[in-house]
Amino acid sequence: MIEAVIVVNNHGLPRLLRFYEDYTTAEQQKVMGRVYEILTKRKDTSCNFLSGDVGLKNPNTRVIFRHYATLYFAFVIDESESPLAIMDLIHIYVEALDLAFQSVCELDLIFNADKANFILDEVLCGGLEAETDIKQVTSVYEAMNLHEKGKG
Amino acid sequence: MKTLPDLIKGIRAHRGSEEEYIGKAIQEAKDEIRSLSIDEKCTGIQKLWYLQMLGYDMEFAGFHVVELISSTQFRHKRIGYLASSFCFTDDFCILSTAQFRKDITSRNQYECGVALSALASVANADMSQALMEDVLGLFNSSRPYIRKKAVLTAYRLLLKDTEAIRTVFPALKRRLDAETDPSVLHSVVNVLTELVLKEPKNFLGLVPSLFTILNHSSSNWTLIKVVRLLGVLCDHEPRLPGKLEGPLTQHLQNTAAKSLTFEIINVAVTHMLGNKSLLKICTERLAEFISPSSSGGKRDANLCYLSLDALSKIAAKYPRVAAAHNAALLACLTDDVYLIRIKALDIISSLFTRKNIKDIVARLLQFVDETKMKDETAAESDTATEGKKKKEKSKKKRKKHGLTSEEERAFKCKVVDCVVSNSCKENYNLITDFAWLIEILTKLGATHSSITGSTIATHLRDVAVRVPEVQSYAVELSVSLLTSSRLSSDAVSFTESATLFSVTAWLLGEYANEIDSALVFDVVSVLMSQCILSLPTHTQAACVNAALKVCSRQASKVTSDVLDDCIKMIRSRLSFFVSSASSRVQERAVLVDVLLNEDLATVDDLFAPELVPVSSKKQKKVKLGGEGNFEDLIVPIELQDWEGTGKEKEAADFFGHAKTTKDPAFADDVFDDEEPQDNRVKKTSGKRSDDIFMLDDDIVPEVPKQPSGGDAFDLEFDIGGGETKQTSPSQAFGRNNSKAKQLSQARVTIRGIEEEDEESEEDVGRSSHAHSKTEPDDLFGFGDEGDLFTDSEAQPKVTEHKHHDEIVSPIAKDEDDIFGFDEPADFEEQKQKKKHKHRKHRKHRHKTEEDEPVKTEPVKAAPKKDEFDDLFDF
Repeated sequence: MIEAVIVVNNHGLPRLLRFYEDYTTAEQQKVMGRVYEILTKRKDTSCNFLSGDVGLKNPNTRVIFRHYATLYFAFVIDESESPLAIMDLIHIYVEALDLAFQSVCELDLIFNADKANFILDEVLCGGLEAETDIKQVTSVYEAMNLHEKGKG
Repeated sequence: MKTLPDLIKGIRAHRGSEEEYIGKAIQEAKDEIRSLSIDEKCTGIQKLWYLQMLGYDMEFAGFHVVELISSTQFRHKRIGYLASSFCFTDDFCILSTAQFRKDITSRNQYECGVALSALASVANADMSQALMEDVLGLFNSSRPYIRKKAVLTAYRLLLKDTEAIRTVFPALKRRLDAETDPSVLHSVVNVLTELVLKEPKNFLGLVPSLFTILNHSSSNWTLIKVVRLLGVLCDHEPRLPGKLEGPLTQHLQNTAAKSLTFEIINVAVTHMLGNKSLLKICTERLAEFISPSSSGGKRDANLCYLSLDALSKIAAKYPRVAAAHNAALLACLTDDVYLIRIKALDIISSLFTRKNIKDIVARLLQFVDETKMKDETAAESDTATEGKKKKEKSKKKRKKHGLTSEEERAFKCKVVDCVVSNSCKENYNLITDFAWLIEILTKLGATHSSITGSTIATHLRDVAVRVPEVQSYAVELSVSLLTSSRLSSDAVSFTESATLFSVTAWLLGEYANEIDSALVFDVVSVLMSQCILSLPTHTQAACVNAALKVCSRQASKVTSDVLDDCIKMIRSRLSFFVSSASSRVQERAVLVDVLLNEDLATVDDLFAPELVPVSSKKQKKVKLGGEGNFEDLIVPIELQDWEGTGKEKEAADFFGHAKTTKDPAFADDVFDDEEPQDNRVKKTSGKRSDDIFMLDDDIVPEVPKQPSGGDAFDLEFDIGGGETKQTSPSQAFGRNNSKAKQLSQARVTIRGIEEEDEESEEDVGRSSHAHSKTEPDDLFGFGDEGDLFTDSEAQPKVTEHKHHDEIVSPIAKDEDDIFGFDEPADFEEQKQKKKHKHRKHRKHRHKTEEDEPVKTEPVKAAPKKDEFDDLFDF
């Protein structure tokens, strides 16, 4: 399963944190810092997989990440996931964000952190892939927004 | 009231004083969540949730989050459910269970959706028990969206309430068989994968259904999971791999998705290694990913890394399969990614065989040289352009796209290490041509002594001592190594290269008669050069000693002019060493000074006994015996005795203070011929030999601590004396002239023992053949697995590179093929034959060469006093 989703910018500021197991706020910050520390040491030509303990309860985790402009999107996964598939999944999530915000940038994520989380909830559910079809993700998200407005 | 965007803007506007600002904001939000207005509450929660991401705990707001999810407005619910997974503790779970149930069973699929998502994150055991039934009820919902979320949430609830597996698993199984929606099916497979990985053998019943999905699903996402699932089940169902071969091969050939390709390869190399035809296709695909040509000249680092990872698993079981892709692997060594290089090198290390070792090493060395050249040219161009900007630019460029210089250096170390350790592994099992090995070692020694100098030194000495056929070649290369050697000054490399330097010096001294006469002066001048003084003292001592040995050995070979030059030079340089702060170097230098006054042929005799390899374990087999009491040695008594006679006192002074060496009378005296003796130290007068080796006494007390040492010691007396088996050392050390012979032999032995102790780890012993008396079968160390010569596989086939014709080692003379190792069937037989022949040969050689009764052999073969280090070190 996917243990955590961490979106952090080039300067180490969190833009989205999601942990699928119980971690206190302090622990979450620690893991985020650790992941950021590892990521910034990487060169862009290196692999997008990092194995090693990032401070989660499960020590056998891998960090799969993609670097988009100013943001690192990192998924921390356990052994049951395929790293290449997770790479695709990250891309799906980013594309869904892109559709929702019309060419997404870091600022969108800063001011719409809640929306970014709603979209993530459509891609992942409890740490497992829920939807891998971008259209499906976006349409559900749009429908929910409509529903929110209709009632509100 | 500030909204969330206001807060975010505020934080951005208060750079430097964010803490303070956020503190105020939290206070404000706390007030807001207590407000009666649900909107205000919602804003407060929203802000707290945002601050939680920045590291500010919001657990205190849990109760208000429960209020929020009870709101009838979807907007509030949505925010409430999102916040719930960040702040819910058990208390709030209890409070909210009813609300969760209400929303899960809501007729609106989105309300149900957000509730299920939140439930998956926050559920505790009680909540799971309470809500499982409702969630399972949703498995039959008409909406795929609900079914999908219900399946995933059920898994999370199951984790908290494992008892529920009895109801959840049948429901999942039904979904697996009946599901038509691809994304729901994917969720089911996803959940099953998690469950199966926890306890595979409980889920073998799933195989038929999964097999159908494998054949019919068109979703790569689902296929990846199914392949992984079936792979895990392969370990528990032996018939499964055969069944899977067809479908997997088909998918491998048809799919364009790399992720699916890799999942199949991963399963094939971890769970289906027995399946060769599938493995073959996998290897082909892997080779494509590894070789740069396939993707337009540039490898995808991720694919390459994963491929190497998979290939290393194949290589562990089928090295030959991986060996077929040697070229691609070697190409990976120049990759821009450090990890890929390391991974490739790892695989290459496991591929060394007798047949390909020369090729692989040649390629690796070429690679090391190449990167070295590249470094140098880069450094040159850096200095040439001098423009600071350009320099920075190129530095940056390299950092981004290549390896940093640190990584480059670390990697080169790894390559050199890989070459040395693999060539020498398993007692030189892979080496059929020791001349080649010597060549490689000296080559690496010349260029990379700073990295692995000590390892190279160990192996160089090991091979030179144990393989007599390559000794002359080793000496030849050592000469060039020594003369070309660059001593670098940084700390680590200093000790590394110094170790190599001293071993090279030792080799030259030990096998000095192999040195080309024309080079003698050069060698001696290097050994005595002033820069030696900056080396560690053990190296200095080795060099001084080696210089003397080279001179004495070559005395009969070179013209007297050359010899005189050499001696003159040694004398002129000795003063540096005589005044050394180290007693070891000083001692050695003084001794050399004295011995140089002697007839060099006489000196040569001191070094004459041949060194033979003896297993390090051998000496331990010799039992301690005799009456030798090593505990009360004689030092005080001896000293008293010395004080008794004038000459001896002089000698004592000599060893105590270097100044006495200037007394030529004494030095002459030392070698006064009183009674010729039949052993190799025959020129040494009995009495004098006592005196001169008086210092031995200093170290004697150490000897008893080594059982082997003590024993050899004892035996030595026995044989050398040729009469009293029970001669005790103390007797031998008495002031009795008639014991002088024994004494001198004893001295020789002590040296041997000391050496032995020093080198016992290397399987190279120099010990007397005394053991042969008690264990004739073990004369040459046969039958001991630690000995090179007992191991037929390690038996060298020696080629003399210099002349390009084979010097066939004694065994190979008769049976050239013996080292081919092509027919493993004949192997045992050959082994036996060879063993026999070798033994015969060695025995024969000893007889003809020495033409002496076996009894005297111990003396002859007694370890050489190649280094006085240990003897005189105190």
